[in-house]
Amino acid sequence: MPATPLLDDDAIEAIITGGAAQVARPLASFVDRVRAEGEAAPPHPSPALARLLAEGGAAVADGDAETVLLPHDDGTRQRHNGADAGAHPNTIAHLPATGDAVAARRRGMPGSRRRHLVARVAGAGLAAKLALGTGAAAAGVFGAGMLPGPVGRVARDAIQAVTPIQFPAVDHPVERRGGDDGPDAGNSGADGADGADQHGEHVSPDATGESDGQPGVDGPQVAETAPGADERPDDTPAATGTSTSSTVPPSAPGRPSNPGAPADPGPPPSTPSTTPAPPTTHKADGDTATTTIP
Amino acid sequence: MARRDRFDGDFDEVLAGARAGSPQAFERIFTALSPVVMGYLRLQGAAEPEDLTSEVFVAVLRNVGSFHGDEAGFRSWVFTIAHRRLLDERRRSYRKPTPAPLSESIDTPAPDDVERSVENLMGAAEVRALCARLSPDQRDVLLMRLLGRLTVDEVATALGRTPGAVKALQRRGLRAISRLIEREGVPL
Repeated sequence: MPATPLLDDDAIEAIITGGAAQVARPLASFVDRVRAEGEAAPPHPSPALARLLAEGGAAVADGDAETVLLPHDDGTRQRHNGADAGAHPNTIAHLPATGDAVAARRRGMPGSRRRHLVARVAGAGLAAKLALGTGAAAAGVFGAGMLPGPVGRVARDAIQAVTPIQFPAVDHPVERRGGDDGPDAGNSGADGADGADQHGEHVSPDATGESDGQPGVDGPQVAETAPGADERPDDTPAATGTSTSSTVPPSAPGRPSNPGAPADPGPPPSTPSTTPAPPTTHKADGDTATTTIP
Repeated sequence: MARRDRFDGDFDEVLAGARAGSPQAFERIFTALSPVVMGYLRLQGAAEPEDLTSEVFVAVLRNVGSFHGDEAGFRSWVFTIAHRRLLDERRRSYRKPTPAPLSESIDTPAPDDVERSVENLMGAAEVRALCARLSPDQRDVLLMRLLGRLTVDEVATALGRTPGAVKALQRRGLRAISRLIEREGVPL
């Protein structure tokens, strides 16, 4: 009796599918033992796989595309050189970059990675944010409407004094007074052109006398017949009117019109930085720098 | 005995969920196929079958959105990825499965009790040793057919061979196993 049974295709199929003939019993036992190797418990997943299993499609978008082989949709098979997957017509070189796929990836990624980054930055202390040098801290602190103008200026000065961050020069309306005869000349903050948050910073040319040669805001005219006409000083212009208490000092920095009045100190000189200033982002309409966190 | 359908008839639903990114569907795919994939990699002599299995399923789950087909095609696809990862690992490590002589691990059975002898002696280590004694091509074909439950045509596609070559390799592989069992003292 032959030690090795005759194995034709039918016998082999019978062995493989589990219907082995008696003569091929040892082989059937071998087959059963091989298959038992595939009945163990699922292995422990790697961290990357565990994340995929936990997050599903949300984690897929963070992964790299793979080169994989797919069968034909019509079920046919095609021979190919197995060593060169790229030559196979069914090879998918990368995940399809269609609009639907991209949108699906974005939807499938509920910003987990993006949110993580934003949360890390948002949760970081102010010092950490400043250390980023991105201006994100400045944007967060000096965001529109968060701080009034004067407070914001003081805060900006403080930041510049202790950090390498340099904010663009503030275009103080006061400093433009010398030659500004533009549309806003003479307008007070109540006009709204300078914004309510800059109240007090702007002194009109009328008050300083630059517009009409007479210091002081032109108030209502005092009639000659008004009481107290005899006590009024002779240089009180009836036409222009002058506040009896001229308390609005001219605000040219360091040049008080009234020698006794305290000068507007103006912005303190910047502390020289010992480290290179990071690039700042300038905005055309203000002094706040914003940076989009990718 | 291992089932060819490891999804209990729910494959289409599972695949739809996986393509939509459902974590439950991902888990279902991993649970259903990771044991056979790991068994395949272990019997192929992979150095780290668990780690390699994870790599396989990371690739599967990341690309499942691009798969279209039935359960048999999906299994074929998964085993194709597994086989390629195995080849990559071998290229990285330049290692081959070290065959262990059967005589060192098998007690000589009683000559008149073949079946019990084979069942008693054919433990996991012996099976791995037998598989290691096959040629790589024979081992690839037999394990894909036995563990992956792939058809001849599916194995041919996965390995880049003709169906005729696959049949020849499986025949030679089973004959080699029979000779080894006989030679090492397990009479048929």
